[in-house]
Amino acid sequence: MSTPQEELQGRARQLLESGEVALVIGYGQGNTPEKTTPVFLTDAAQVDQLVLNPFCRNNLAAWLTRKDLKAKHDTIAIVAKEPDIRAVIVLVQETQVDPATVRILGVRIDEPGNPDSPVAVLPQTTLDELQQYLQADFQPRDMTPEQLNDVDQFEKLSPAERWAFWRRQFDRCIRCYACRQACPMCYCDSCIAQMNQPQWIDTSAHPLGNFSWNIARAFHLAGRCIDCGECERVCPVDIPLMRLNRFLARHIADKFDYKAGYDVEAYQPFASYKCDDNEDFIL
Amino acid sequence: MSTSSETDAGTEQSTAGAVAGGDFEPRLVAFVCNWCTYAGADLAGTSRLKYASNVRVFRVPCSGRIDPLFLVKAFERGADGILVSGCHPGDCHYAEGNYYARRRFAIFRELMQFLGIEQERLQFSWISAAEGAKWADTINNLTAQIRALGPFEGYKSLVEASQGPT
Repeated sequence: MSTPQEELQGRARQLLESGEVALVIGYGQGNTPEKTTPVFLTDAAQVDQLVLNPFCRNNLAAWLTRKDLKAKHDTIAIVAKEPDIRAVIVLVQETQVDPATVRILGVRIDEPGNPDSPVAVLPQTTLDELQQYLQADFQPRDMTPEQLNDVDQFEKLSPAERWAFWRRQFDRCIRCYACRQACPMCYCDSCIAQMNQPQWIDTSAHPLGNFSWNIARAFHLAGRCIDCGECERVCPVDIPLMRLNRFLARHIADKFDYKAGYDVEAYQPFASYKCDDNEDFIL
Repeated sequence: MSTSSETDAGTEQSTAGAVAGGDFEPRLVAFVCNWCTYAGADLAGTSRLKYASNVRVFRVPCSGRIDPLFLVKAFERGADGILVSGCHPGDCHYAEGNYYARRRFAIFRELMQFLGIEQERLQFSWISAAEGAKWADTINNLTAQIRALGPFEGYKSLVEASQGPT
């Protein structure tokens, strides 16, 4: 019986040999055993570079919106974990990715980062099947009790305490924009953070600019964040960005009964409305 | 940015409902839509209604035009409180702009509170062109609430911490 890694390599080989895709983006061995790095394969002979282990952390869907890759390769396959599949669904929803040009090699890593975690290649191959698979799994994989509790407990603090907390967090921000670069949902050609006429967000890494940047980043992901956690993982100063993202996701779910990344046909919450949306907060 | 040395024409006048003894005059910013709330404010004026002069009004085509970054920028530039106001649901000049705005601000408001900004500092209202009195009341209430809350020290401290050596 072949290992999941061999199975993945076999599927990638098939895709490249048949010419169904021009490029496979997957995980290759990094420079230490607990690291992986994206690899870009154009030849079936290269597929033994692919690895599948609990250290496959990057969200490779972030590469799908790269113009240079799109221009060079008609069809691209990516190795995608569950959050990464949700990312592809949102990208299709937002017409950033043509589903006809993308193949997904779905994988599952039960406990990312735990060396003993089981890994598997998903049997589903089409986006439709993968979407059904995610929907079936929808409830339990939503937010863990710990994640919900983290948000709930924080909300119980006073406004002054919450302000002091985020002030401390955002003050550390060095504006490296790693959170943005790692995020599959941050694909704008020119980011609002770099616009200077008018300059909505100060580019200096000072408290004022950092606040504006982090507010804008969080809000631009409201209703779009697919909870892969890459922004927080790549943050060099460990700002708990997922606390913001999960807080917003929880409100979007409560108010608009919507979760990002489960349905390519769905209208996004901010691109739609209902006449009877709650307006208790409006005088 | 010092607080006491800063005065301007708008805040020097005495204000309806001013709290005795307090010399803090809130700076308020209102983002209003052209078709309803701005006309409502206009009506308040032509009806000679008296209301707090603490507010600076920014007229935009529609409440749906208001990017949350407008509000962030207003706080950056020293607003102590903000009002966003547009047409009542069903009255939007562009048919549905206020519905989109309602969704956006329902979430943005929560985000600002989660960051520790008091909910009184960011308020929302529907004020029609016929509701001059509601405009006057809304602004008076907002002014009184922000006056009780005091200056927005949180954001002012961000500004202070972000200024280079002078």
